[in-house]
Amino acid sequence: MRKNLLPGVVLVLSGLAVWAMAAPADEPLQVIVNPSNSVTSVSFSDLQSIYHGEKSRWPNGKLILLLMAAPGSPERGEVLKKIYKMSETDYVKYFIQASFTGEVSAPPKDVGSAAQIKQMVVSNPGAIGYVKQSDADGTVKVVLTLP
Amino acid sequence: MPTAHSYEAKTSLGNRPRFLRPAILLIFFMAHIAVAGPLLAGEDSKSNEPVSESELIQLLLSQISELNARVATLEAEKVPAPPPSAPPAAAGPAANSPTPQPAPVPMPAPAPPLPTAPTPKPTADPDPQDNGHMVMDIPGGPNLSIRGFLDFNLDVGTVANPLVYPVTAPPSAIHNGFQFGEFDIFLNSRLSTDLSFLSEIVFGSDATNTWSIDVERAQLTYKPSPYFQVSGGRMHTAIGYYNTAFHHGTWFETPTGRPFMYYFEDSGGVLPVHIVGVEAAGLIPATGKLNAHWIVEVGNGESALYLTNPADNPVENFLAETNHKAYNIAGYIRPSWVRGLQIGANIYSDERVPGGIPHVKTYIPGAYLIFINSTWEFLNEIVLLRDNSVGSTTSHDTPLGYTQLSRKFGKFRPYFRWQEVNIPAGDPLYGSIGRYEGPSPGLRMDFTGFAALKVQYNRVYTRQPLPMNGLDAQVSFTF
Repeated sequence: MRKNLLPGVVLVLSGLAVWAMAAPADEPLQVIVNPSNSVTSVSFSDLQSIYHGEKSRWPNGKLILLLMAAPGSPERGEVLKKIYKMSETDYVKYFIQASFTGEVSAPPKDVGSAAQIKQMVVSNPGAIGYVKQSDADGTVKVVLTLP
Repeated sequence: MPTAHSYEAKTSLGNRPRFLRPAILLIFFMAHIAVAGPLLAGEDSKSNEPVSESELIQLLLSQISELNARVATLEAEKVPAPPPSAPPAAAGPAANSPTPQPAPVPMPAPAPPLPTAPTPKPTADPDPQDNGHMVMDIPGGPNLSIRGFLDFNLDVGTVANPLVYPVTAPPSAIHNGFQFGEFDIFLNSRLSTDLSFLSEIVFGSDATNTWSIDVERAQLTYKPSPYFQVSGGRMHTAIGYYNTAFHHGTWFETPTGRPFMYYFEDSGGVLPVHIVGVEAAGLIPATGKLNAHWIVEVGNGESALYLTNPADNPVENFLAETNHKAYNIAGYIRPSWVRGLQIGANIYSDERVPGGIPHVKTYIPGAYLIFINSTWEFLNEIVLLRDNSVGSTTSHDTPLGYTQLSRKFGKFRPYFRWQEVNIPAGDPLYGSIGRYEGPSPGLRMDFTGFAALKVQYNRVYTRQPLPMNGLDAQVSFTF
């Protein structure tokens, strides 16, 4: 009788694993920039403008390189919800249209993992990205913690 | 009906889940191939002799070195020819390898691709952001992003999908038919950090069913700062909002087409929606959260000769008819405390020289208020087209405008547009066009992220006693 339960248990555990992977990040996200960036903090309003492509340069004139977590990741879901207030489809359409009008020359760059985001922020003085609080370390500068 | 217990009795793999069994069998099979394969591939004379551990290791190492040489050979064959300016490059690792080329080794199965070091792209932009576009990357030049747009229509009624002025003159019988829309190719390239180029090339068919190609936009933009950018080429004039937000890709637009007021010049439109010249624009410093922007445009203006000679193009791409230039000054704000709100205004002026009648001075002031977020879309624009014949004290004023409201419900977006164009009969340039106004309710369904089905009903009131009707079903998409 116990063996009859095995498929059900496997199914439930698989479901829980999928739910856990799809669930929003529990930790707050931290917005990170290159340590050499003179900016020490970014307001939420400015962050929205930056991530919408409306502000394309830092105060020192350096071009901003926008980094986005990979599609489907919890971190990306949080940013779409809190910063863009858009679905993934609306986000894609937004940047196609922004490119079409000439306002934005390119959409944010999708990056596969938190380690890669940090690596790109470290290697690009104009880059801005976001990682979970536990992934932020001394190699990058935190300019905002998303609520 | 077999129970789980009876199923397990039939298998030798115990009580492992059913879905794991093929995987386990596959692993056993692969392990067998991995161990036995190299031995079987060896000389026949050795196949029946016992093999010691050290001989086995030597044999495996030999196989690995042969495979490495084979991979090097294949990689060398895949290396493209170097550009003429590049120094003679190595043909690949195999070319410099002291190991002689081995005879081809039969592979029992295709090997998985080996991880190789990423090759840096030799482009002008060291970090091209190509998400969402097809990117052509020819070594030695900037990236070129390409995107396409297309729409098909099924029309029923006189004003189903009106695209050309006069919308209904001469009055045509109610008809229905399929219509191939605009085949729009959008190109975008960043030449350097500050310099970019974009272009829109449209393949379209007109009322004669003849295909033609139009370079609708081609503009080079230098943007060294958020406070200043300058563009040159053929652009969409910064009159109102819709004309610079929506161009030729109907997929972007919630309804099936542009408002009457923004019809293209070569479709009889009354506004100069294209300009050939230069445009300067930027953020106004110290405007803070108001986010105020300025725009100044100087261009050739719109031709007047085409009004009497249809063979002429209304946009002066190559030859300006007069020394006088058209000017447009515009500005808008995007308050950061109400994301999605944009309020703007402009004034455009030009002097045109139609054949056989006095010069006409044109002034086009306009204003708009729009609000767009992912759920709501609320657009309101009004423009006044004023034509004055030189030497006359009479002005001919044409009010043009529309209001549009839509709300998204999942994949569906019902919308409503009311639009008006009312040209006085005495207007020296467009008096024959007349008046068009009326409602256009519709429904848009985004059945994928990049394709939409729209159904729109148009009811148009003119100076004729009876209104006209039309129904348009449109599929538009980007690719």
